[in-house]
Amino acid sequence: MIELKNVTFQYADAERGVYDVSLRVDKGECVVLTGLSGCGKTTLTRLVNGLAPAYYQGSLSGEIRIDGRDIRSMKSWEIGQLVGSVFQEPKSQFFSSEMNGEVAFASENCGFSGEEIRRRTDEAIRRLCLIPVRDRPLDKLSSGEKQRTAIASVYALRPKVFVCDEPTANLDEEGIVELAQTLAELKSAGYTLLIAEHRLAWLMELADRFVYLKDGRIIQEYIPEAVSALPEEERKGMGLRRVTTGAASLRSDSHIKKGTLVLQAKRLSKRNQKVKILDNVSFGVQKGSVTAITGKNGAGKTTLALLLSGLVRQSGGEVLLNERKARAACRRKHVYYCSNDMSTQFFTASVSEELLNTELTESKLKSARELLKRMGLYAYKDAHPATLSGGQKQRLAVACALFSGREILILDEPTSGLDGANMELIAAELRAAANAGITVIVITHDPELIECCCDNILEIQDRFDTPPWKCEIQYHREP
Amino acid sequence: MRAESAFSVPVKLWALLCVLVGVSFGGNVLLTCILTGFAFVYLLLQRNIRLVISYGCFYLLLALLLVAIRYHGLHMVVFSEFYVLMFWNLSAVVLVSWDLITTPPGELSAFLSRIHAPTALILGLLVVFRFFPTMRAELKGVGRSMKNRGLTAPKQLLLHPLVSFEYVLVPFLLRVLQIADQLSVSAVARCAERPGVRGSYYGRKMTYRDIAMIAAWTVVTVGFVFLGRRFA
Amino acid sequence: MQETNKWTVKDVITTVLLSAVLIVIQLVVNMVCMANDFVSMVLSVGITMFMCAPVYMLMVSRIGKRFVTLIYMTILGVIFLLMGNWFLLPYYIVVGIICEAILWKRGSCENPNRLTASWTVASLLYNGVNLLPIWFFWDTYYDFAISSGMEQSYIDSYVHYYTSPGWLVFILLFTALMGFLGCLVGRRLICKHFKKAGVL
Repeated sequence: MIELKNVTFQYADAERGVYDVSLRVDKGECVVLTGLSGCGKTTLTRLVNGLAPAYYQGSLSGEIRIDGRDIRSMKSWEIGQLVGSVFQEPKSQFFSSEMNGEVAFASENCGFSGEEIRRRTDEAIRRLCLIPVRDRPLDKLSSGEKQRTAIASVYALRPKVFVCDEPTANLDEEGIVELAQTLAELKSAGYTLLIAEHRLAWLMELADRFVYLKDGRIIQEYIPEAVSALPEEERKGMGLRRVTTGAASLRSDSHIKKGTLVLQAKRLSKRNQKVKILDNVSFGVQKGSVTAITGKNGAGKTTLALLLSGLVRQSGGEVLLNERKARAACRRKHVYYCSNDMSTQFFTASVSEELLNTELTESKLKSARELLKRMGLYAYKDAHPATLSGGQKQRLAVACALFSGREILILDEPTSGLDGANMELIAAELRAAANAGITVIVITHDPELIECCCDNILEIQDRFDTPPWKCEIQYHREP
Repeated sequence: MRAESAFSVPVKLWALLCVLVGVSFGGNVLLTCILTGFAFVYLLLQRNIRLVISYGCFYLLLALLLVAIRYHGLHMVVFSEFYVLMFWNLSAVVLVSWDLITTPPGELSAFLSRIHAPTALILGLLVVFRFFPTMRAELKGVGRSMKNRGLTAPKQLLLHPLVSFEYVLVPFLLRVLQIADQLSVSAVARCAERPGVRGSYYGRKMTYRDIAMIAAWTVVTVGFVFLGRRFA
Repeated sequence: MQETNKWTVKDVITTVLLSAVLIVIQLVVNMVCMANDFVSMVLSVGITMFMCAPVYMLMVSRIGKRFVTLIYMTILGVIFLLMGNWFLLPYYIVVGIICEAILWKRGSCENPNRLTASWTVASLLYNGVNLLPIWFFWDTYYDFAISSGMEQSYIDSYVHYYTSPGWLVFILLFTALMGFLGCLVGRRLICKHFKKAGVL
């Protein structure tokens, strides 16, 4: 179904690309492309769905065939009917605010008759199990449902191939399970799947082959059993994420220091217009600990983080810093919040300026230099933050948090979409900061991160389907 | 249900044309309440109660102000009398336009594809509708990040307004460009570059109700213009 | 940037989004300034032109093709049509054509001087947004005001900013100057950020 022969592609404006890649995917197969960030897996997906070189310009040589047809002779809309693309962030690709319009989008572009469009749309919605949420506005859907909507939209065209570029980057555990089920059904119906991913655990049942890339070349192909059988050291050396599913467990050598609770929430609640998002939330965090906050997407984790960091005022209850009541303005001085949205976090024109801003003392310069070196960003110290890759931006955001000098850091999904090596880097930095007395709170879905560096887990459980979340903070280890 | 009682897009466009003609060629400014009144009826028939009530209150306020200005010599401090009169005059247009703008984008794009508008135009329209909630969220995100870094202190904003302007504008614009790119990729991967006529999920035939409304608007507007000329 | 002159989906979407940003800034600032007559008639256009200049320069440089300004001006005119001032639509289309003429030469879109010239002219002509509605609506308002018993001097004072030549010249110069200064800021931002960020 998909055939790449000696394909070399280099982006017009960057050094990256893929070199001499030959790959063959048969009909009904599911092949997973994996490797470190920047290894070329996204580039390969773009080559298969025709976005490179038509949209992402560059020089291409070699042969690419989909279903026997040479992709270079096809126009973008012809390829679009053959290859359906699923991207990382569904919400930034929606053209409509409601499901019918969004799922019908691709069919409408293809100019089918109204009746045909309605038939295909209804069929796609039914097939992707979206009927229960059909009438809800798209912005109110869960991340898993949004991703399924995106898949439904391309499914309506009945492409032969589905190409997915890190489809689980923004999904929580439940969303990942739903996605895995959906893709399994598609595969059993005869569709071909090509997936570029970091997280491998959810793919072990689904994939027929794993293709490991490094620096734009295919190094090795594995069958799932071989991947499972990889010794831990080797897997980590390749920078891959773990392959077993299971709940996160804490570090076995973690210990809670007895000491003052540096941050406490007492009966915190937050009401947003008519909806009460958080109700009666109370917990405490020890100084120098790394605490993870977990929970379903939409459970109020970000709202809680914004409350704790003083960027949003609470509707009820109070937050204590070092056992003293702290108003929002005071919280802002002591707590740094690093949001999970990388694009609106950087304000300056260079990486070093982002860290240092106006403080150019010798000691600050020295510590900034060392921090950048540890984060692997020193080479980019003069680059504009907007030119960094996603993973680099995340590392820079964490570096800014560490450099801010505030005693409590709250990081929102710092490792979503990062490969294994980068995740461990961040985990090590957080651990080091905690040992130096900084308190770290991490909002995360990433079980590996929790295992690497967290002392404690606060789980926000919602027992009902809608807010207010009667948050049950579950400690996994009592402070 | 509201969607069923709404008129189709050609009716709305015709209504807009009528009010524009009426407002521009009618002689008497104060009589535009006839057009505005009919616009309220038009909205009520579409069950747009909220707009009728909220703009109705505003319109009543304008009426009171005009009476006060006309018969009691009120001089306005904040707003000028000129604007009061202009809003009174243009109310009909505002109502009809607002009704047109709040039509579900699916219907607007259905109409455009029926008249064979190019796909790029339809996509541009759809994008505008998605724009406003997205942009608000992005601006809020930038504001929050600035607050977190301590860049929003009043002293900072007043003493260094240009730098603060830069802090807000640059990440926001970069994000707008990024969103534009992501939307384009999403569109191109879903056959948006295909030349030819675009299809549509929604299809609405003109009903007798629609035709009746077109006739009604025509009659009201012509009547208003004549009446206005008589009383000019 | 591509050399072709054909508009792609990306160009359309970018134009529409950035035009929307421009229009929102203009409308919001206008509305805020309406509270005070002096600010609204004399200063508000200048302020909006200053704030919008970097966005405009980014838009034209990014897309790099002809007709960007015309499309933006047309969308702006349509918005004013929807608010009732339909005569602003043909007016802004003409303004757009004038700006396109300034940017007509190939390669103008990357030339900061031409961009500055185009926006400064646009700023100057943008005053139409205040002048034209008053001009169109003046007779009607005048009749109403007289029959309400307002004194002539009071009525005249409302438009004295636009009728006395001194003020008129000041307003035109002020807005053109603010547009020009905004472009200087825009140039700096483009070099410092947008070129470095690789979006231009």
